[in-house]
Amino acid sequence: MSALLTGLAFTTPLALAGLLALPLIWWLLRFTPPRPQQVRFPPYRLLLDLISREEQPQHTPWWVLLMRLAMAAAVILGVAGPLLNASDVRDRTSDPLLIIADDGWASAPDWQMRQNLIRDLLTEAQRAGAPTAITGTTGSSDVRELKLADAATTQKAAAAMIPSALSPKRALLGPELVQAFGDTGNLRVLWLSNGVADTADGEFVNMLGRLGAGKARVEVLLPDSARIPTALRKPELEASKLQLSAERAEAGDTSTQQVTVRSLSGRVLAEAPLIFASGQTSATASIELPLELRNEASRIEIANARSAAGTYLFDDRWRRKSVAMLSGASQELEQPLLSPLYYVSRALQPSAEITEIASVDGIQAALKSGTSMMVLADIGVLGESNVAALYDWVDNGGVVIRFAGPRLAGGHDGLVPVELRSGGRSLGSALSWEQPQGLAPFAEKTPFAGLDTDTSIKVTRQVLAEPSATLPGLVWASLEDGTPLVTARAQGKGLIVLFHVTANADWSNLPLTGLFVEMLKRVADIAPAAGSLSDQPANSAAANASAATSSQGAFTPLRSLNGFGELTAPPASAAPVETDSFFKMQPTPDHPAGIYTRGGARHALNLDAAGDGLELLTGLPSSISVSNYERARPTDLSGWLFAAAITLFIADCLAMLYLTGAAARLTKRGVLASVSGICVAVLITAGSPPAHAQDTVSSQGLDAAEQFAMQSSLQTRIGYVLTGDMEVDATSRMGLEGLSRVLQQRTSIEPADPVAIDLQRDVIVFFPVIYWPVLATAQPPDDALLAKLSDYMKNGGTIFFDTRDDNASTASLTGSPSPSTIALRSILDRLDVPALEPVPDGHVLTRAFYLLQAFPGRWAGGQLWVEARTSGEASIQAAASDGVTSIIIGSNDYAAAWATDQAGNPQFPVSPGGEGQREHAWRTGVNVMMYALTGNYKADQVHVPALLERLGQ
Amino acid sequence: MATMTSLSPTAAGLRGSADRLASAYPPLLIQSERIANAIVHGAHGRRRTGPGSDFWQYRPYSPGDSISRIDWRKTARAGKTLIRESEWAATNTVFVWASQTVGMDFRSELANVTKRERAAVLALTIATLAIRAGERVGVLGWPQAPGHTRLVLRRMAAWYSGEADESFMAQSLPPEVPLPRHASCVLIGDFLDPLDQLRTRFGNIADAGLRGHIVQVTDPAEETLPYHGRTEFIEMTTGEKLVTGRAETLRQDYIAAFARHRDGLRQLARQLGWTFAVHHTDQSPHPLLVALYSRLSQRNNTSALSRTG
Repeated sequence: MSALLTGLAFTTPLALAGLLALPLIWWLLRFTPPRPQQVRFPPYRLLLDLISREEQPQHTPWWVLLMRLAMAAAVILGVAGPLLNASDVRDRTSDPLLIIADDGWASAPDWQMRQNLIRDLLTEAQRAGAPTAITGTTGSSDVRELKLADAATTQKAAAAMIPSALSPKRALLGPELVQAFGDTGNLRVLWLSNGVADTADGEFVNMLGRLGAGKARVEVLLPDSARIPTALRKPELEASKLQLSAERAEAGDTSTQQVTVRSLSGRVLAEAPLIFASGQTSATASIELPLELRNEASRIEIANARSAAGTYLFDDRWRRKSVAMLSGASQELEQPLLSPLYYVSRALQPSAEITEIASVDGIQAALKSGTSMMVLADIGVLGESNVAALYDWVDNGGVVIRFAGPRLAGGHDGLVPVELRSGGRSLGSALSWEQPQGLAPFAEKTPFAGLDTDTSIKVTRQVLAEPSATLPGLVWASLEDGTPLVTARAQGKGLIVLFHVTANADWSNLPLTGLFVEMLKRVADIAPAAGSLSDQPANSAAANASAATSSQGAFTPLRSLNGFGELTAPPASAAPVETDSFFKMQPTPDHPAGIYTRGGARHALNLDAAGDGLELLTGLPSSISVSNYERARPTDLSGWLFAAAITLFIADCLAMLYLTGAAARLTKRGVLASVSGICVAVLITAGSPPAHAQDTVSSQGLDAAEQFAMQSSLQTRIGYVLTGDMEVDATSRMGLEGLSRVLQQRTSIEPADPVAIDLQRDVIVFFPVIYWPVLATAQPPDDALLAKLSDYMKNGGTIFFDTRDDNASTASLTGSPSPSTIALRSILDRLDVPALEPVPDGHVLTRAFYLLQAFPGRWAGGQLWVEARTSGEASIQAAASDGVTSIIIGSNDYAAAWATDQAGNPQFPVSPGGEGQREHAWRTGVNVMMYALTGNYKADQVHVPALLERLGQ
Repeated sequence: MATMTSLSPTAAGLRGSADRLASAYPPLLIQSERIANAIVHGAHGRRRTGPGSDFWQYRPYSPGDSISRIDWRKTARAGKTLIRESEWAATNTVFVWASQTVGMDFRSELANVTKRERAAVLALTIATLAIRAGERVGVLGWPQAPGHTRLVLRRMAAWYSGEADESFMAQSLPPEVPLPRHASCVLIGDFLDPLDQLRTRFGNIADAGLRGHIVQVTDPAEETLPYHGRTEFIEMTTGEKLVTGRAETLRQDYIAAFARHRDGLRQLARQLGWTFAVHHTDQSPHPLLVALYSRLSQRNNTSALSRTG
């Protein structure tokens, strides 16, 4: 209880003077009892005796008084603004306040909490009018001026601070602080630390002690050690696995974190758990990362840890190359060490995928499969086509490395960077004066810059380059006397590199040294990633090489990592880095971690926060008070007090109702009110229209087109084209209705009523079959209609044309086709109709449902024409419609044969077969519908044995 | 909370209600042992000769009698001169009195009419029934003599609907007026006065030889005290106030006191040889009318406590 009282503070203590009014309120309330109900009562006399016996309360009941006093007290206390847990440091003093905020990678995860704390401190300081100052410890913040200012300015500076991907360098800060605040009186120093120790912490703490003439009050806030983020080390690549290790600050319980590999777009490519055993501060994990994913990977990060320490950025060096190698020598399996490719493959194996091409014929195939680099060891002349293919490939960005040898010296095709002199040069042989030479140091502007030459390398024989004006620009490595040893030329987007010695130890001992490995690695670095040829112009070998030979050898920052592990635009203070120092440096405020680019190549500068391990910040002297971040913010009790006052008020009202007896009266009225309310509710719900979750088809909300679409598509319907002739249309309708009835009776197709289609206006895609009776007066379709029809047919619809005359008889008499046939031809002329044939014997139509040989309608003479089956590969159109013909042409007037009225009486006579022919007409219709709706499944060979049996064959 | 009806029932309304009630009953002939010697022709046979229409006796002619009274037929038969005499048919008189004090204006939520209105309707109904039977009706305290015509009803209706002398309104007890003997009276009121006063007044009336029928009209709220909580009771005549914290605590005691008072009334009536009836304003007046009707029209044998001579 005492702790509660000591933690209580008031923002407006003067309001507590209102509590003095409480006795007055009490005195007033005593003499104002609640109003009674008045009754004029005739048998008054009888009551006189009774009431005189009972006491007459003139005062308010004591508990009502108490409630009202409590209400008044709660309101007064609430107005006074009580705060719980207001602590000492945040006492309202006007002493100057210095905030030292660690803003490195370790502060990033709970940066928001730190910002809130700083804001609270500065608000208190503003209220008290204390001068404040704030500084970061990494040296990367823009706050360079260390002087006391008013809280508003400091608040702006604090709000602008963001954590950076650096470790705090407190030792550098110490002297600056002493210089700025060494004499400030009554200084309060608050160090919001990140909990991770630095080597120079002892010195820093000493410096803190000297602030404020030695009398400053220093307080350190340490975070919970579990909240210090885990730091990731540089991963190692072993075969196709990525080996990771990570460090955490405190050896606590077992914890598991997820490490994810992400691509540039943020997609997770692979993940693995990172398990810290209890009591251990380091953990390892391995991620299986195949080549394609490794090429796509752009960063590794620890999931859900918003800190730069848990992020590792990949650059181009991680992308694996694939190298194809071809040697002119025959395969010498018995003497592998003499094989020219042995050393090259051993050199490139750790960092690239090696493919050995068996013979010259395989070059083109290898090029097509996405090789990054082609190594040609001692090949003189490639075939014309191969050379052309190689040129094309190099133009697109590939890298060719050629090694010299006897064959190359004998004669070469043009695929070399420089003109070569015929004949070579031999040094140190029996007939020469000169000794074998070593290598000169590598020039700055080549990709080999920075490599240490090995003095034991001796070159005994080489091919020579023809001197020319451009030669010096193409030389990457040379001998001590300046003779070029490695030359290279950019071709298109790619590169042609020539080593003037052999790939094995014949002409020099270069392949035997580690320098060879490094040189090949450097060249491989330049090569584009596997399978990515000509995709990334920025990543081309030529660009890389030209950058290497260009005058600007510095790495410029492209993207920078901030403390949260996010890549952002580089800060204004980021400066380019010289090449030779880039590979060995740690990030600094001027050169932040992130992606740097040189020419087109990207290199990552990573923050290696783990170092030798993370240590907790401990061992602070006793003059510094230590506390943690989890101190509670002062809770404002005024809200609670006001809520209590309102509750008491409601209770008081209820008590008054009870005392004056109004409650009993109200309950009666309440019953009436509730009953009437129920009645009203019932009436409303009874009177409202029924509600549906989805409008039915018959709702008024659909317009005509939608309604047509709904009706046509919700059930299977056959459509028939309106010709304009009433009789024909009526016949079509009756015929299709009759056919629908027959289908319903005999098959599982249950079509609804047929739909009349106006070709110009209606959408026809809903109908599987459209019956089109062609009149002699039919007009050829216009373009829009043609488009509609061909769309329909291409998407699997079937149009059943019926010329309605008995084709055979007319044609035989006059020798010319009938008028409706002519009309049909004019329609079909402009449609994209494939070749047609009469239904052949084995066609699916003959056995789709019934086994039919002929397809009679009202007449029996005509034939049914369908699309001709193409032999060999199926046409695309047939494939789209499952082999179902999109056009059927008949002439037997099927609709008239099918036409029956509601009672089932046929409308038209059929000839010559009578009702038997009508039955066959039904069967024809059924077959056509089944065929159109089920596709070609009846053509499946599975059915053939059964069908053959039935056909008696 | 009690509501005061500020407007008295109109005369026409009263007549209408009374006629409606009276339509259910046959004309009321009031029985009485003795009937006052009224000259007005009534329906009661007095068993003596006098003016009337029923045959009573034949007596010989004595000098001084009127010649027109000789019954010649009988004379011719009997040989001596005979005079036909008829029975003296006289009327009974009934006095009706309905209390018109301020206290009668009380109507609680449990009832539909004020006590005054109900009392007035009852009084008018009795009067109507009696007048239909030819009896004479009067109001206690009226200066006029009782009448047997419907004019009396009209006057009564006007009297009870407020067009009357104010001084009579204020009284809660039947007035002290000289009364003829051998009449009946019906006293309708709430009779909440102390029993002593009631005893005195009723005794005076009984001494005058009247036979009384007391009807106590009460409002159900007066009987059950249905009030809760903090209540202030106000006396209707004087305006005196009485505040109680919780009215429901008084209920039981009050009901007992009220029952005691009513028992006292009943006993008083029995002592006087009168009848006593209770009527609640929330109930229909018919049961009361039936009871009153039967009591007024039955021959009552003399009781031991009767004060009539």
